[in-house]
Amino acid sequence: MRLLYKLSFTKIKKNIGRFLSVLFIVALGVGFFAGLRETTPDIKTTLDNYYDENNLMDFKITSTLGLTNDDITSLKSLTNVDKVIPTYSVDALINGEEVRIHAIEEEINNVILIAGDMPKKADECIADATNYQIGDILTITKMTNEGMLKNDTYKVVGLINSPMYISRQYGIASIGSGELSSFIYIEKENFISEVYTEVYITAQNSLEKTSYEDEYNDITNSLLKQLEELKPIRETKRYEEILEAATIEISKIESEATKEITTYEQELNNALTEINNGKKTLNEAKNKISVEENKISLEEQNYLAKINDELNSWQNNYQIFINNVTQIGLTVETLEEKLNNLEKQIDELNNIIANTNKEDSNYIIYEESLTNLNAEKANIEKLINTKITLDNSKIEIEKNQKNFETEIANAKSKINSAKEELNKQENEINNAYTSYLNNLETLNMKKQELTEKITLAKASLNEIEKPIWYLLDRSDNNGYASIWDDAIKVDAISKIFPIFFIAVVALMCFNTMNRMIEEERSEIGVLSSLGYSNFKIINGYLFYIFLATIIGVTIGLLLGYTIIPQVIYSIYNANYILPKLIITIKIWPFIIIILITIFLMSLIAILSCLKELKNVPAIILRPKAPKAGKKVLLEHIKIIWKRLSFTSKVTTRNMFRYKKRIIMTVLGVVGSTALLLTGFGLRDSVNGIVDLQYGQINHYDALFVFNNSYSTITDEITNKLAEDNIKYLPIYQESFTFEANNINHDVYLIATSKEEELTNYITFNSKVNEEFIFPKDGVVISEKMASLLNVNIGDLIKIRNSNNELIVLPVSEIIENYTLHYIYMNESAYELYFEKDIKYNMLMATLNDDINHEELANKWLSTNLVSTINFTEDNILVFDNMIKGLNKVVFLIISASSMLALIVLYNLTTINIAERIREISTLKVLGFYDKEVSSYVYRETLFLTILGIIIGFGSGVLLHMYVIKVAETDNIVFLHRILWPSYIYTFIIVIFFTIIVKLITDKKLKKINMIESLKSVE
Amino acid sequence: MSYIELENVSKEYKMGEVKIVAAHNVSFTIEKGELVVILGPSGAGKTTILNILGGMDNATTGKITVDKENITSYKRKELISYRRNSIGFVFQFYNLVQNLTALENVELAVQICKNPLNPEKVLEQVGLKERKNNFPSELSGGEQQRVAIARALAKNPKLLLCDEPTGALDSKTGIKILELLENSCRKMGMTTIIITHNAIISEIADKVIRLKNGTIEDVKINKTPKEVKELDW
Repeated sequence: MRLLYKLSFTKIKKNIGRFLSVLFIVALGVGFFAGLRETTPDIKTTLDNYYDENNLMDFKITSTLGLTNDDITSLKSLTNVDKVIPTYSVDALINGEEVRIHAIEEEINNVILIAGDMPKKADECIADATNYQIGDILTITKMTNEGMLKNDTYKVVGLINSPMYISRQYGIASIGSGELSSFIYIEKENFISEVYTEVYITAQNSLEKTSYEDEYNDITNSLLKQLEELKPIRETKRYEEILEAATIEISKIESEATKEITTYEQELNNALTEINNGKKTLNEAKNKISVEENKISLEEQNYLAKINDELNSWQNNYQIFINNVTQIGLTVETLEEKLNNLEKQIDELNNIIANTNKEDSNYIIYEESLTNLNAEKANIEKLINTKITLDNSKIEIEKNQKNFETEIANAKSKINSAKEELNKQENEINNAYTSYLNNLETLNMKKQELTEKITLAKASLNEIEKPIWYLLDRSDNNGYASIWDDAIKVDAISKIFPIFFIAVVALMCFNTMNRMIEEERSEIGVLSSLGYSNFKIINGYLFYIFLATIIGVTIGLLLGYTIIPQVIYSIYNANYILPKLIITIKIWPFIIIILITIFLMSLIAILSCLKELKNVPAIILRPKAPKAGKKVLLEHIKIIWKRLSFTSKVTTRNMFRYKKRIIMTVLGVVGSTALLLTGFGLRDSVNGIVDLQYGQINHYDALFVFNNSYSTITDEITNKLAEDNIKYLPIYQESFTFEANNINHDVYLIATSKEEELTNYITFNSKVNEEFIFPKDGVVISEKMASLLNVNIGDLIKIRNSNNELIVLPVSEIIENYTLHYIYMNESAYELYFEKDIKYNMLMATLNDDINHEELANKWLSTNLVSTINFTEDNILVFDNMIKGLNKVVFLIISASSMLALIVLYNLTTINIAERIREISTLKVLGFYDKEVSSYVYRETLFLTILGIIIGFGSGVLLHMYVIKVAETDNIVFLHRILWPSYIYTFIIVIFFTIIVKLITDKKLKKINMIESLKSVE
Repeated sequence: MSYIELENVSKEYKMGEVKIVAAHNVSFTIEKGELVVILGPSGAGKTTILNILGGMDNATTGKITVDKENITSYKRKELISYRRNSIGFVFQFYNLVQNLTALENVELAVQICKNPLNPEKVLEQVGLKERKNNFPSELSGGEQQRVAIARALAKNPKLLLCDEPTGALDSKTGIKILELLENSCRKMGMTTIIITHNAIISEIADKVIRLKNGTIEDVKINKTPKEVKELDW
């Protein structure tokens, strides 16, 4: 026995190339097979581990009216529930980015601290590691629920990843552009809210189950059932509570308002009474004044009469006086003069009398004259006194008149001012009355208002919407479902590629073993004739095979398990934020693969041995008759055959001589070519997407997201836009989600009032109609969305907004689009389906080439007009990263296919040489130059290779189609194309390996000892 | 100067530590058109000499001249050219290409030669006119060897080297083959060297070179070579 094992080692040494080729082909096949097969399980393990370690929730519940402690208590009472953790979050704008702010929770959805520390103060936060740096100061400029947070500014003290954010597309936000671009976590105490915004729930025992597996789904589904049962109960309860509270509130308002009105009414009545009293007093006063007035005028009249009497009597006296005066021939004016004259005459006479003796005759005369004169003088003096009395009485009368007049005037003015006062009072009362009337009107209005308000409030009670609970499972986490979907795609691919590989590997090994045993026929014969049992002889070969298989499988598995999942996993990094891949080398699959491979290989060895051993030793010892030459079919077609050169004829016939080898060669080359073409084709399918989407379809350079919405763009904005020479179109854009195959996808809805102008920013190519016409009352959707939802023109699509409200839209057009999903609609359609006017919240812009994006963004952000500017350039970068990831797979496929091509070609050529060593030696002896020998042997390989390449191109196109169908991610349309350079690369690579193998073979051919091989009989 | 001259030709092989001398100081000459038999038991070095002479191997020391050409110093490529144009080989096991018909086997050799003969005519000469389109597997051993000879002759070589040409044949067929070789030598003037351990065959030769343990035992010139049919088997 030991000798036989020794023989095995000799066999290995003798033809190390053969041993290695068996070993490597086993390694390649098994490695590729196992690697691809293990990729999805590895990803599953990694993700499950990630979720478990960080206590990812199983469910999240949000409600349109928030959640109360009663809700939480009810949730906690469910039997299948484990943790129920109520918490808060709010969407905010920070530096123009849409950021979701979460409360830090200890027991659920733990974040992974990558750098820095957890917050210690209320104004510190931990933030999305992909977006922020430690030390960043984040200032909130806007929030969906203003006043929800105590602080507006937070300092980043730690950088985190979160199991809630696996996809790099974080989902939709209820603020800004509607696309969530980052997240931060802050201390829970920062939130000011009466109700919880959300509650996280885990199902009992869900951690022990592996995510994505049926067991996990079973466990969560049983909880989901309970949650679904609880949902309507709690919704109704909450509704009733709110209704009750509102009813109480309304009646409270009503009674308060009624009270107020009553008081007011009372006040008004008081005012009215006062006014009436005032009026009464006024009238009394007025009467009093008229009485007084009458009295005065009567007095006046009486007095005037009295004066007249007095004046009349004075006048009579005066007249008498005048008459008396006139009687003596004097006037009033000459009285005094007469008196003076008389006095003078009297004096003169006295003088004369005094001077005259009483005996003088004249004396008596003189006496007599004097008596006359004195009589006259007394008369005159009497008249003068009368005049004085008259004058005095006149003065008296006039004085009395004057006094009376003053008195009257005073009385009159007194009355007038009293009258004035009364007028004033009357005015006041009138004003008071007017204001009373006004107030009365107000009161009536108030009364009416209240009735209206109460009616409205009561009516609005009916309108109070029932709160809606949204039960969200882990797929609320944008990447949770889609990464699994992607991983399953790899699984699908991993099912076809390895089958192909394994088939080639098995055939190759069979061929090789067959050949080896045929070559060692004589040895087998010798051993057999020496009396070694078939079993022992076969054992020797089995040992050889075991060795090759075990080493090969081990190398293959180790490399396959480590490299392939890693490479594929790394592609996901472009789209997802993931933990490090956990590579698990599972013992059982490992052993099973080894056992199966060994079993297959042993079977091959045994079958090959038995084929020889069924003969008696004598026959085995005799040289095996060389394979007979045969005419090929082509020879019967004389016209063609005659035209062939000698060498072509030989090549043709050789090719058909070893049918097994031909099939193997062609198959191997077809396989490698198809794989290579698929690899390069994948690149073509992906590489052009960015150019097409951002070169041929989307023409805008940036989206300006406004802080506010506008019915018309303000002059301030248009002026600023003109400053920077920006061409623009205002649009309304909102993010929605739609569900296809149980996965939520984001879609942008863009509405415009200028659909004609929109075509300057987006090229619409209809996928259904010859010519694109913007629909008036339906919507335009992008092709991938249509295919995901499997809808056509005329069908309806359902989308949900950030509040989970459902909107149904009819599809009127489907357009060419390669990345992301879009819905376009014009103003009339928007108004029809959303029942509100279009308000622009963004604008599409084309920028001058020389404009600096960062400067532009800073400039605009500082104006507070826009919350953010999304540059198309950044989108392109994201896809470029994805493509880079995909290129790794392409590289993997290309290298594996190349190895396959190399090994297949090498192996087959080696067998070819071994089988035809005498023929080759003969050629050498005949004087064929090395080149000629080589081309004689290799021409058929070359021909078969080219044949294989041609067939491989065909199968590659089909394989590429399949792979694209399977591998296409949900937000990208892969291009169904393979560009001609890919054909050339593939051709060059296969030919390159053909040449390498040729060079190796040439060396082998050169080394062939023609003498030895010719002398021996095999 | 003779047509072919070997002067002190030695050949040593190194098998690990051991040095094996396959030929030692071998010298002989052959004239144009001669039929030479190299005779000796197995291991005497006949094949070594044939290989060296046939350009399949280099001598370790010594000098070989064929038709005034010194082939001793020939490099690999020159040796191939030499084989191609100057040498015709006939082996014990025919070494026909199984996948080629009789005619094609001849054509295979001819298509690379400078002055080949017409393959069909040569096949006719060796008596295989009717069998020319048959594959080797359809031919008897003798017929196969005839094809091999036709292939060698059609090259119109300077030298026909036959290594145990009858070794795998029964005597009756063997004789036919020897007759064919004799004919080609005598009638076409082909210089022919036959290697054999069969002393009887040596009787038809013009010159018999006996080898033993790598050295020449003797060189005997046969003034009156027998015809094949005269041989006593």
